[in-house]
Order: sequence, then C-alpha cells, then structure tokens
Amino acid sequence: MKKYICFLMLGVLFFSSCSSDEDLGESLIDTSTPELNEVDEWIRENYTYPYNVEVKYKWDNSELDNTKILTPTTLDRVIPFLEKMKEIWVDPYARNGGEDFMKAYIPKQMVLVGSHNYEDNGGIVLGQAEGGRKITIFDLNYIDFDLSGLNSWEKRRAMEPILRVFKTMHHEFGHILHQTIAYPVEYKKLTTGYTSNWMNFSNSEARGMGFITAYSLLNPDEDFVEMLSEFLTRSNEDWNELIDKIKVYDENYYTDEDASKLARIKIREKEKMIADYMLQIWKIDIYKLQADIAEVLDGLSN
Amino acid sequence: MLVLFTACDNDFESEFDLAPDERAAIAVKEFKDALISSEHGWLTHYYPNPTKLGSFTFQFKFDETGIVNMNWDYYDFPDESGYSVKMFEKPVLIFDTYSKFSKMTDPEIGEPGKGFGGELEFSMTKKSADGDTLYLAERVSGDPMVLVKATAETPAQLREYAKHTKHIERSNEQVVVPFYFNLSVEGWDTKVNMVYSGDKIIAFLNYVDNGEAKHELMPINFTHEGFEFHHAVVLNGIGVRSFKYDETKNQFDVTDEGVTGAFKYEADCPAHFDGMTDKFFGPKTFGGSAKIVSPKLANLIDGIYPDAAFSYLSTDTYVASWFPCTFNLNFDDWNSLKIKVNYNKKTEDVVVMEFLGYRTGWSAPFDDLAYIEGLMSTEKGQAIKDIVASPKGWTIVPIELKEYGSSYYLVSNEDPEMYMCFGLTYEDD
Repeated sequence: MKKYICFLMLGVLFFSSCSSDEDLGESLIDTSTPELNEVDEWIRENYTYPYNVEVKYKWDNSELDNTKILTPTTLDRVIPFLEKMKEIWVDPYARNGGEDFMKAYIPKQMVLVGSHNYEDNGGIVLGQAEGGRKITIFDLNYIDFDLSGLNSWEKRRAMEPILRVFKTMHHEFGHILHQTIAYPVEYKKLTTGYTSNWMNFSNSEARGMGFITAYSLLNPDEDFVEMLSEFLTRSNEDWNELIDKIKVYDENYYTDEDASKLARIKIREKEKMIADYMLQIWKIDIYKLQADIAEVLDGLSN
Repeated sequence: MLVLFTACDNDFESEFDLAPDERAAIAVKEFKDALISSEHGWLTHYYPNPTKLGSFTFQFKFDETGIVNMNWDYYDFPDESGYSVKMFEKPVLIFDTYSKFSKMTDPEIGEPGKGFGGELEFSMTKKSADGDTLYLAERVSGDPMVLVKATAETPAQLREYAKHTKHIERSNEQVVVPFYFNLSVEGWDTKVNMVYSGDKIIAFLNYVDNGEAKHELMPINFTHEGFEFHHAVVLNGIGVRSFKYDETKNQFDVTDEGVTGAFKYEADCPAHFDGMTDKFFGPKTFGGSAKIVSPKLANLIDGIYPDAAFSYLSTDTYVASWFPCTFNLNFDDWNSLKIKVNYNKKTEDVVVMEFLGYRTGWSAPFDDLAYIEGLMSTEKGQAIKDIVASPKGWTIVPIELKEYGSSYYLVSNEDPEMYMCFGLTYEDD
C-alpha cells in the first residue's frame, strides 16, 4: 500500500512541475565570454584547450590560506613561467607518457602566487597540492628566466630558484601519481627512521641514512616523491655523482665505508623501485624522461 | 501531501523587484562605474596596519578594461595593476596583479614574513552623496580605506609629501635647528615632543601628563600641506590632529578648527624618562652606530682627519671588561678615532661622557697616539672634545623602546643643535 502512495505522490509532483507554462525569462547565469587579455589568451591556447587546465594568476583569496601573507604575481612573469613549466614538466611527461596520460593526470587547476609563503617557524612553502586536482605555486616574482649576460657563477645562482620551483612541480605531480596507483608497499620498508622532526637533519645527514633529502624523512610518500623530483631535475651524470659521493663519517670524522656503501645501496634500491613502478604502471622510462628534462634545463642555463 | 503543495506555491511577495543575482550584478556595476567615473582617479591615505604603521598615500586611476594606474608618495613613478570588482557578501574591489600597492601585503617588506599587514581586497561600504568620496573596508580586518576624488593638481601635490617627510625625519637635514620638535597648544599646560621613524611612518610622542611621563606611538599621514596624526591627541580636553607647514617660520601650524598651536624646533626637552641611562649605557649594554647626525655636529667633526671625510659616530659601551668604553668618530676610509670615556649616569635620562684619553687602533695613522693627540689638540679637536665630554651631558630621547634593537637620540645639553640618532638608518628608504 505504501508503494502505491509513493507512486501517487511522485505522479502529482511530476505533473504539477511540468504543467506550468510560465515564461522563465532571461537566465540569471552570466554566460557571456569574459574579456581576455594577452595572458588569458595564451593560457587558453597552451593549457586550457589542450589539457583542460585552469590557471589562476590573478589574486583570489578564496583559493589561498587566509592566514598567510602573500602577494599576487607580476603580470609579465606569468607567460615566461608557464612556458618553462610546459617545457620542463608538461611536455616531457607528455612525450614519455603520452598525451592522454598527461591530459588525465595533470592537475586541473593551478594557482600562481608571487611572494614566498612563510610558515610561522620561518620555513618557506614552495608549493602545495590538494587531492591531485589543484597545485599552488609560490615565489613566482622571484624567478627570472633571462640568464643572458650572467657569468657561470651568477647563472648557477639564478638557476637555484628555477630548479626549486620545478622540483616542486615534479614533487607534487609525484603525489598525484602515487595517490592514483600506489607504489609497492615494499618501498616503505627499504629504510626506517621516518620522523616528523626531519627539519633537524641536513640533506647530507639524510643521505647518509639512505634518504635523498631531509624532507624525505617525513614519511614514505614524501620520500617517494622527493626521490622522483630530485632524480628528474638533474642529469643522470649529476644524479650518479650525487649518489656516488654519499659519505658517512664515524665519531672521529673518518669515512665509514660500510655505512656509506649501505646508504648508497638503499637509495639505489629506491631508484630501481621507482623506475620499475613508473615503467610498469605508467609506461614511463624515467631514465629517458630524465634525459629529456636535462636537455631542456641544460639549454636554459647555457 | 499538504506540505508538498504548500511548498510549490509561487505566490510569495518578494521585498525586491529584482532577483538576487540581478541586484548583485547591478551593485557590482555601480561600484565599478563609480571607480572609473573620476577623471583624475582617486586619492587615498591607506593605513595597512594602524596600530603599527603610518599611512601610504596612493593615487589610483581605474579604467574600464580592468587596469588601475597608480602612483604613491613614496616612489614617484607610476605603476599599474590588474583589478576586478566581484560580489561576495558585498561588492569587492580586488587588486589582482602585483604592483606598488602589493607592497602593502608583501611578506618581504616590513616585519619578516608578516609584511605591513595590509590587504588586497576591499568591500564597498558607501558612497558620499556628492559621489566624491568612496568608503571601502578591508575585507578581512574591516579597517577603512577612503577614496577621495583626485584633481588635476594631485600628481604635483604628491611630490610635496616627501618634503614634509624630510622636515621631521631629521636625516639629511640642511638647516641648523635645535633638536626638540615640540608641539605647543593654547590651553595645554604641557608640550609634546615628537621624534619620527620614517621606516614605519610612525611618530613617538613624549610628554608629561599630570606629572607622568608618557611615550605614545602615533601613526602619521602626510598631506601636501604638512601632516596629520592618525587620531587626535587630546590634552585638557583640546584635541589636535592636523598640521600645515609654514615655510617662513619653519614650523608646522595646527589647522584643527578653533585650536591655535604649532610644532616648533626648540632647545628644551619637555619630557624626561626613567631608566634610559641604565638601558643604553649601563653595565652589560652594547654600543651602537649613529648614522643620522645633526648638520652642526657633522660639520664640527668633518675635517678633523685630513685623509677622509667624517662618516658616522658609534659607541662601545661595554665591549669587554679589560677594554675601556669608547666614543668613536668614524671616517670614510674605515678608520676610527676612539675617545676613551666613562659613560656616567647623571640623571635617569642624561649620560655624561667622562674623558679618559684616546685608544689607538690597529691601522695607521690611528695606531699612533701622538698623531691622535695632535689632531685633537687643534681648535677643532678641542671643540669636539668639549662637546663630547661636556659635564652637562647628553639627553637620551627614546624613539622606539624594545627589549632588543631600541632606537634613540642623544641630544647635547651643551648645544641642543647637536644630536645623533642610534638605531635608525633609512638606508633602505
């Protein structure tokens, strides 16, 4: 009997909703095309149409942490940054993983912020990823890609913020990949000693423990993406040099050869596991991807 | 069933003729139209943090395409920002790309990581009846920003602001005047001394009220005529806020209606503070550098050392127990003439530098005591020694008092036209 009453109610609702013939008038939703400037047009052509990505470079407090003191981007730094981001991150992944891969997994919203993002403890947040859909990048007003006229020392200095921000992109993208399909659980057992007090360690101390950076000590996920981003933002030659030079010192400041070798082995094991994961899951040869990115970075600094 | 039919009844009376979205769109358009309506744009005195900082004056000219051209009194060159007007709880003006105005929120400027404390989003509060004033409020803190219609003269007037800054900043001072910049007002029975920190556009007011010494922080707003306080100083029921520069008298006259008074450069110190000598010259205090030196004192010292011009003064109050304290004349070639002194407490805020001799340095020619004594035995050298080691001493006038990094003036009681400032540099201005 209850069933019949429900059907009767739905029927009444259905007919009374559709029986009205009134004029609904003009839509209240503003569907007019917004006025686009040169930067907006460029973003549409290079990010929105090919990858369905929204890039927010204008100030929008609702996209940011209201407790932070931040500034918007300088307009004329937006296109150069996005161009380089495409060259160093989007295009190499698209070439090595396929256009469809990149279209599927690229974060669909990018928020650009001009200033540093300071933490209360004095630390600086370089980038943030939220649920694989949104990436916020800070520091844009401090990145200059025009290295012409600089000597080699000045170029190295100028490359530091560039590498830092693109390492952040690779780091955050790494999170999206492992959050989509997890890396093997064995990775978490390769090294122990994860700690929330990672900031009390230097990078070289962390490397001596089998972690590529101090931040890798935070947890296995950060370890995984730090490995990936450190690997992808240097040439294979530089990467090998970094690993091969890892040294652990004993209490008398003599090199502890056994401990040094163990640390190198741990990192190499992580490297192999990441290479296998990327190849098997995402069909990406990270050595080819690394060479691809290194070529772009080399062109930038020379 | 009854509830269902009641809910679908369309015959309700709206308080408004238009739908909420239509009204929001109209409010946004009205705000934007108001912003672009002024031919010469808008002038604002913006206090990014009225508890810690003075105001920054901007002229904004908004156009239809979402660009706002601007200039400010601090740097005299134009800049532009993107802007938009959006509806949140009210129509909100957003400065949405980096510009001079973004410095109000830049964490690199002002307090490290915190910036000046300003905002980039301002909600529209109201418009004056004649349309010449727009009242805005910071979206988060609610502090006001008032836009007043600019005129054709505004750009030229903005350049006047810097002149007034120089008058009260005391750096690069050209005219010899006594140190104390005192406000006298008819009806007040006390004078208010003002020292100024250009870094923060803040005045520090020192005065005695009912027998008690007061040290008050006051944000400053410059105008093309002079300057004004963020809020009135009220003594004996008489409030004073605005001042206009009188070039003929080199003073700032009060312009508040019905009030007579002026800020003048004077030789008398209206307020004395307890604890200043101990804080800055007592045991285990550290010295400092005075890079702002009054023109009369700088001229007195300049020329004593033939190899280099005078640069700045410094004190070593408590370097180490086995070294004497020194008062140092520093020169452009990095050499220092060090006068050995005892910093003796004369009163709570007067220190006397008792002359003990000279301390030789490590490098020539100040490694030679005879050379130093030769310089200081000249007429100029004797005059320097007399003023430094005057038994009348030096009054300590605080600017900003903090546990560490305080700033203060030392003013000669022998000659109040001679003074030096410790702590402030203005090197980054």
